[in-house]
Amino acid sequence: MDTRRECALLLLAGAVLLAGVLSVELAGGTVDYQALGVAAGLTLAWLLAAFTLRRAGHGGDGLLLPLAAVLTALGLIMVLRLKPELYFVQALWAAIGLAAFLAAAFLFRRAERWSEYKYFWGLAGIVLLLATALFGVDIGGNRNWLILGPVHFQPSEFAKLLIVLFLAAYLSERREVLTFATRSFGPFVLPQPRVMAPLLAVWGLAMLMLVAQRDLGAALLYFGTATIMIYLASGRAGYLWWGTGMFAVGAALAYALYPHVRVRIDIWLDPWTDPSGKAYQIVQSLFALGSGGVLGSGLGYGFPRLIPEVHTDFIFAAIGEELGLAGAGAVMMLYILMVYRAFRVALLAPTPFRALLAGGLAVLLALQVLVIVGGVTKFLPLTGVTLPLVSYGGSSVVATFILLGMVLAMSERRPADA
Amino acid sequence: MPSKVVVLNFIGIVLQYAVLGLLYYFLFMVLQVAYRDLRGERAAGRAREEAAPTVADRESARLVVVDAGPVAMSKPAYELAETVSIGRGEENDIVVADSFVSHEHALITRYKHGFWLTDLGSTNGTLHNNRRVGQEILLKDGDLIAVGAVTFRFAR
Repeated sequence: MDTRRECALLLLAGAVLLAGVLSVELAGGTVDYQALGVAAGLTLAWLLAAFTLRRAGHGGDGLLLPLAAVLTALGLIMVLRLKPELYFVQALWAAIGLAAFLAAAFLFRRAERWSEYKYFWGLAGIVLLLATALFGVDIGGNRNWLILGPVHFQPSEFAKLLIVLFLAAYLSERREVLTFATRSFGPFVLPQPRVMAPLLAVWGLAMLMLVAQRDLGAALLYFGTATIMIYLASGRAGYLWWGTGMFAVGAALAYALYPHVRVRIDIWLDPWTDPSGKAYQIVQSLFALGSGGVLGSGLGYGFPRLIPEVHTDFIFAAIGEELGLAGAGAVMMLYILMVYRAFRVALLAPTPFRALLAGGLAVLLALQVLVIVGGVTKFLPLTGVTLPLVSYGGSSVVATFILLGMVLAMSERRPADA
Repeated sequence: MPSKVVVLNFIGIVLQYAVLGLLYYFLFMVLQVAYRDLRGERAAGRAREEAAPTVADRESARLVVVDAGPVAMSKPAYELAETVSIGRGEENDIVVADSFVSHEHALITRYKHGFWLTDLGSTNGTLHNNRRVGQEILLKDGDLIAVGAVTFRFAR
């Protein structure tokens, strides 16, 4: 893909952003030129980033940045619509995320060198998570925030990336042992216990998060990603059975022991027993999606603010209401294309480590979108994770940009330095 | 002459549809690029398939028994397939009947264009050019691999 086409796509993303911001403002009755200026500035920053990458000879996938840009644009439009006071903060996070994207794209060109410190990354990820479990602060129902001076952030967003990096390095080294040194019992394959250790560790971690932080979504993400990465590394479907079994046991225990998990499941099975109480959020979300119809009410003409937390976890419902099936479908297609490009990077990767890293990151992104869109549409029990790049939230935006930067670095085709 | 409100409303409606229209035009352009890439990859794959026989010839590799010590080996040299397992167990592709060799001792796998040697966590280890194998190693022509008392030479 040539640079001209990438620039055209980025300009198009900028046009979406400007048109969206302007229509939100016209619907609200006041035109704020500062907001438009910020949108134009961000578009310029995207172009500059693409230009920097090409200028430095980076030969990565040219579709990742435009896809990220258009999702960020949609996120900014919706944040301006739902919480105008957070628009400038979110734009600032988008700019910081872009810088992080560039940094990751260059730093991970030498991913093999980073992979040598795999135990450090794994440990760092676990320490981040444990620190949150111990010193975490409750903001908006989830005890997964750390406060360091003026900065509030969600470590689990970054710990995800560290754990995937660790697993990619660890599993690519041991994929033969995973595949061959096994004993089978019917459909179950049991490898040597010390090979299973990381899977057990991640399972323990996920359960801890579930119990200590009530972070159902993160637990599901970590465990799902780890299980699928082991499957990617070994090519043995038996591990998926193990993962499913272990998750079922954990979920059943959590359901039996913890009332907050039980509430989540019960309102998923039947929200109409308590539509104005416990199930208020999901019921409002369903009304919003339903009232949107095919083309939506138009930006600024719906009532998405009836949904609590609409600017973070439930932003997809707001898109469904104001941009309709057309807008929500476009968002899904954008994510599908992004995940497809990431898996393509994995398929074309020259070494097992690079393939696993790109594949693991693709799985992480796909699962996160599945969990939150499934939750908002009542396809799955609701768990609080952000919609990557679209939801309001600095940690999530920056972490997703770093994830994409890593994939971009993996997509570069250079002679392997074996 | 329509009033200012009407004009602004009209612009507003046009912009609302423009957001969706631009979004789908963006998707269309991305799909075009993705489709072209897929077609390019399929063509490249076909070209590779047509050239396959010669490539396979060039990419075949063997393990030649250099020194069997006291161990009786079934063959003087072994052709390497996609994956070849080495160990004391009968189910291995290359059986080394030596008590210092683990049941599942080592493995040689082909990945892309190279053959990689891995130790499967054996008790006494695998030596690659007299160095104990830790991480996976990409094999080069002439490399010596020692499993228990037996030494192989990797030949491409």
